[in-house]
Amino acid sequence: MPPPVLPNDVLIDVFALLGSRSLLYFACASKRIRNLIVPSFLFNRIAIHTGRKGSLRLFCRRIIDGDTSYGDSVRDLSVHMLHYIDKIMLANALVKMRNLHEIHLLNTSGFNAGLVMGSIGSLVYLHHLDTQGYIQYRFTPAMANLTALRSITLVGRGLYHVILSPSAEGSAMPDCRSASEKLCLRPMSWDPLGELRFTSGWPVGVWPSVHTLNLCDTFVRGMGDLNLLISFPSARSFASPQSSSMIWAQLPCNTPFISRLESFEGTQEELVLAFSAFSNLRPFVSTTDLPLYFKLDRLPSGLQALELEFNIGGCHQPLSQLITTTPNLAFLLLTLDALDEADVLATVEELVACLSHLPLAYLVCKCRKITSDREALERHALWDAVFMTPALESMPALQALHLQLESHERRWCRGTGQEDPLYSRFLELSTREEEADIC
Amino acid sequence: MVNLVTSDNESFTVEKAVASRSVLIKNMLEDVGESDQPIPLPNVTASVLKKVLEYCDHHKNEPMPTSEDLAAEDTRKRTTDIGEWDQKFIQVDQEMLFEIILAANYLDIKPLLDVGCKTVANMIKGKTPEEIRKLFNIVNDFTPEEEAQIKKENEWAEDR
Repeated sequence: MPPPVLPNDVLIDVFALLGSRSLLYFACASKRIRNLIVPSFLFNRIAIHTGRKGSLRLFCRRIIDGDTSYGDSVRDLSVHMLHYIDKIMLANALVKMRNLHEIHLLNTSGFNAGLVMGSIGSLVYLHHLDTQGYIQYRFTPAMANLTALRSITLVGRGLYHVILSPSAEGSAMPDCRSASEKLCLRPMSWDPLGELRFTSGWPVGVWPSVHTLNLCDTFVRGMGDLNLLISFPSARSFASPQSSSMIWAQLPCNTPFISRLESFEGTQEELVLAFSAFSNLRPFVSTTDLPLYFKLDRLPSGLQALELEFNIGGCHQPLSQLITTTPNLAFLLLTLDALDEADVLATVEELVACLSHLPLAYLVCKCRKITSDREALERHALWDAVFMTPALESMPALQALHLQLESHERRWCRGTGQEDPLYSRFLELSTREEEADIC
Repeated sequence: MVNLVTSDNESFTVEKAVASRSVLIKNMLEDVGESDQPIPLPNVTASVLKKVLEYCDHHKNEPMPTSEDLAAEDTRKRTTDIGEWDQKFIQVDQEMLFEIILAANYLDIKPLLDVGCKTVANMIKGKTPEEIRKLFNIVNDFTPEEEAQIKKENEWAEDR
């Protein structure tokens, strides 16, 4: 007996879960299905890796030469590996994607951003701008038209400079600057003080609505003089710039800024410099480059999420210290480098033994640069016995678990669909590359 | 307790908290107030309702998704991950899977509909058009030339 026919509203829910190739093959099934999928779903969310078969050029050609509904259907565009020859075609296609909400240009080839950024300036509905790999960013006056922009991620190459002020004179604060909620600049050189001017008493260069500020690995000129509360009065999540600038944490004027932070990514040295001001901190991501000095017993007691990355050889402290230091810990990521098989086993066993005393809901453990023979490690059939089963038995609050040993992975999830931001973070950290097709 | 009557005239008595996982039934109960009257479910058979109630019973203590949650989900990139219990629950033959989806859609049980749609999406992934037609019992009304043209025009979509 044939299965019942699914109605269109259910099929539409299924389409929203499929990647481009699956949608194309589904559209080839019948004319009725094609009419449902093309263009609204097939062109809705585009992810193209231009390393293969000139796909970006084919896509751009379809947008430029095809029906206007194709370009109008594109809401989210993600392009990996943008080469020079594709750049001009993409710039021409972008102006036809009038309803674009999100754009991600990843791993671009290191050329000046001017042309593509100029086209982006025409996208008046753009909410999320994410470009990575350009050598210079300059917000031209045309980009001041991006009034809907809420999230800006510019990942540069080394210390090339970024200029965000759309007007050299700073005569007007564009809407995108006043409404943007997320600003991520890394790694590059930025001079926020140079952009901070007061014209007729009106501050230019202030980001009044930014709640997430990521300056990780960026060189911020004048960081030692910058009053972060004036420039970023709404920031609640902060990733600090290069560690040489850690003096910012000592400045008395920055104490009110720090005391409002709920999430911080930086070194423990910065955290210790203003320890009492960091008392509201919930998630802490440590990018410690000095693991010898990392103190597990020197963390804010209210911490709910902790992400640590260090060489296991540098940490001689028992992980069990976390039980007394951070009794509310619900999320833990440990990224451990340079282990041999015995270290991995010992660490994993210690983790399970001590973490059962914490209310952990999400646990991610990644072991990299393992010095043992990889095949021997993957042959090791005991991971379920030493990690998964004991972890599930001893941690009743656990919702999801991910153990990664080089390319060998073990994953478990109790349920999905939670609105918990910690779950979103877990997915972000544990999603495999090949799953990106269905997003 | 709530009394539900299926299309094949079978009666199920369940806790209100279980039945109220269905927004349709929850609204009916709120509209009618306290009543012993059975609630007819003309679009659901007993075998399907039994499965649906098994799901509702397992999830009865979880918070109901709010309209804000649903709106946020629309703007968020969705995954096809399915929780451990739900995965085992949805391991049924295809006819029952589709019946559960139709029932979840009719009864307005969004989390169950999501589990069903994710399962269908995972079944589609990696399949050819011909395999998809078989899966959904779809009659191919394209000529070979028309099908080839769609593929050629949208060759970019085969990137991944």
